[in-house]
Amino acid sequence: MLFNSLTYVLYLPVVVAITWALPGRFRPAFLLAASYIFYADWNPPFLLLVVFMTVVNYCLGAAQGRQAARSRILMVAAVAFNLIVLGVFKYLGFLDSSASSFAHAFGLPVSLPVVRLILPLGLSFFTFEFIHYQIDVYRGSSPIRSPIEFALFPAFFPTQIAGPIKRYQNFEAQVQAHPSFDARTFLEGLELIAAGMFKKIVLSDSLLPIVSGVFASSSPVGTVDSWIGAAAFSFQIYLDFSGYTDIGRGSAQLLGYTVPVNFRAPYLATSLRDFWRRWHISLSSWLRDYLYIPLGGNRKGPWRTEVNVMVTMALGGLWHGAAWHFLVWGIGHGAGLVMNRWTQVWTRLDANLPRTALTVAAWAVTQIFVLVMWVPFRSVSTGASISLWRQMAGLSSGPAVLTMGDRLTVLGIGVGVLTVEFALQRVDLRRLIRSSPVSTALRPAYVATLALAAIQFASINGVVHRFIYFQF
Amino acid sequence: MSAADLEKVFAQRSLVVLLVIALAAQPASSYIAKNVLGHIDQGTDTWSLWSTYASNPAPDVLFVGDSRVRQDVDTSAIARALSLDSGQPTSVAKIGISNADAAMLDTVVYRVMAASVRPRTVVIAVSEFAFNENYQPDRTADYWQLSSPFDLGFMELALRRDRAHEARLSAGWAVPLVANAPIVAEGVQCWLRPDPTCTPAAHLEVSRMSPEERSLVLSYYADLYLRDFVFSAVELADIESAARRVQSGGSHLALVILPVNGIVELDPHLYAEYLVRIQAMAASMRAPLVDMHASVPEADWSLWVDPSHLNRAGAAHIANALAQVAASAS
Repeated sequence: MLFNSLTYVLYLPVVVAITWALPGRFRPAFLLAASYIFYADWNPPFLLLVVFMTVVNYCLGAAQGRQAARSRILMVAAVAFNLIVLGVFKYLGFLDSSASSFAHAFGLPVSLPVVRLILPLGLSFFTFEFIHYQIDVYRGSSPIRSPIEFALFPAFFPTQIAGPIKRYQNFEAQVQAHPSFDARTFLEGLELIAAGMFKKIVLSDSLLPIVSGVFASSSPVGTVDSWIGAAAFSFQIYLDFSGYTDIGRGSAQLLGYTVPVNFRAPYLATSLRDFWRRWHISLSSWLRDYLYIPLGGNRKGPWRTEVNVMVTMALGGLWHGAAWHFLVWGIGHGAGLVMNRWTQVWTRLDANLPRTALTVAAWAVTQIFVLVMWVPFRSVSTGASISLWRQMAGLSSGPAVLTMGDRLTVLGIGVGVLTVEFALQRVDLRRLIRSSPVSTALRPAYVATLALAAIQFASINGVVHRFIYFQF
Repeated sequence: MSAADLEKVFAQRSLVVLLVIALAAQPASSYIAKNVLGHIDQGTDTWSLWSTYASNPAPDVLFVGDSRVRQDVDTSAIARALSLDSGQPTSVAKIGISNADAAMLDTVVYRVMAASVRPRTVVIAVSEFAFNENYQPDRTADYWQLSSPFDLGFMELALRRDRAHEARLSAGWAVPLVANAPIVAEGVQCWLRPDPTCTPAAHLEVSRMSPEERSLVLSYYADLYLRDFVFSAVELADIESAARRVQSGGSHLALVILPVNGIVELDPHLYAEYLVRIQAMAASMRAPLVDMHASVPEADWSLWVDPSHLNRAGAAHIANALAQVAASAS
């Protein structure tokens, strides 16, 4: 079920109404059923996989919990189980085709069977939640005792398909507390949903044809258009994913739950490290806690730290998709982070430079790097990425493919997003309004306006576009 | 009162305001959508056609069909001809819903026959495209617009006939904004950026076209409606259902095929198969079936708006023949 579909718009109020009508102790079971229906709407047989993984992880977690000194073997088995499931569905085809390509490149007469499995929706996300659970239980946290509460943790429909990746301690505490209705949380949930719908349907989907026009062009495009296309994608993916997250967080709040924030104005970041503290926060913090730190983090000297960063980011890239261009994206960001560490040393030497000028320069360099690295993320192959990079560098160029309207759309949306986020970072307007009597008029007007704009665009487009992160 | 308490009170009030907005948006969306449709379609939308029919006394003769009924049936001329023939005033009405397929016609006939006062004669126009299994227009908006006044039987039938979109149709009944949003959106778009689709359909000047251009228009028609034509047994059953409703409701029934210029030459095999099936159905229902193709000279383009619709002169030209069809109803 897509968050931006009519089905969800009708499904959510029914689930919310029933949830609040039920006594607190019955809500987890009902939400679990509602979440499984939500998942089965995509492909019912794959619900069995979710249930199977849930049962196995519950049993392994419970087995770990029974031992005062946690068993490393059980934890490794649990992590291996989750990685194997993820590997089979997500990476087997990639490994198979890569092995065939290498074999052919070296002239070896190898004929491997072609593997093409459907990637179950949300598998990457709930696998990471299971792994976090198993590792935290191994580290000493108490396992979840109730099977229903455990099953609800990965299945919870507002975060089921594309996160944010939750931490079970926080989620379980909320489930056990049986949240009571709070008008502030509920209204904020509605605001988040309206804002998310607006970001996705009005803004992100408006950029879709522009991005496709550049990235799917069979012949080279002009240098200016290649930059505009890359910029359009950088805003499209941000608005798409943060819109999805807003709808998910808002939906959770309507049910009385809060889930982690995933974005904090990433395009205002003034360094790549800063960017990764603002972009897909639940994933970057997961990678930090369950990959980078276990690898040694920064505790084993500068050289090893840089290797750990590179490995973490390369695997982070591969997590997004089983393809070389995602690996290039991950390695690129890893290299960027390493360079970021070096430049931090250099910038300390430039203490005499005006602070504002330095900040603006750092912001520009960071954002240009991020924008350039979006190219392999969006491209269909590494070859296509290199081709577009060449066009951006002016090494190969073609005719203009974008109209003035397209260019103004990208400019308008880009400047609009940056201006609003910069202003909100400076002045917490929301806090000011919420405690003022004018909020009674302004907040409903805000929700209604965003919702009407989303309805308007959805009605005219007539097509429900999938969220980009659903493919991961 | 603390700031947190104040915030809570304001949030509660905001939720109440939002609820009021959401509730008020439902009837408001219906009102706006109705006016938008009236403006854009100039009374040819399903809503206007049905509400016009439902708000007037039941006619003596009713023609039901797709846009050809709306365009080709001159109700005044037919009423005159029937009145002269019978010696008493005879009223004639028509409901011609654009692109109506057999399932749609069945639901329209249901609504007509569910009224306490019904037409004495119902003439159902059967068009070849309505029986193409591979032409499945999205009719949900039309079903929704036929929904007033409330009738559970109609809703059950509409859900069965619009099975592919039953969730959307149900949602439209529960939350009218869902059904009306696309229409209002179209209105807003036309208001902001008017284009030819926002004004009453600009008729093709078919009489001024060269034979090649006319052929091109007919090819377009064939491509849109008759592509991969497979005769649909389901649609045939739907028309039979409509016919049975008329007969079991005590009204006389006739079937008519309104003309498309060049349809026979376009695909003789297709048209022959269609005729055989429809004739067999009409025979089984003991209802007269008249093919109007012979009544309009195809070479005289001054009678046509486009290859599938007659103009006013064309409608007047076949009025007497249509009056005879109505008079022959069994």
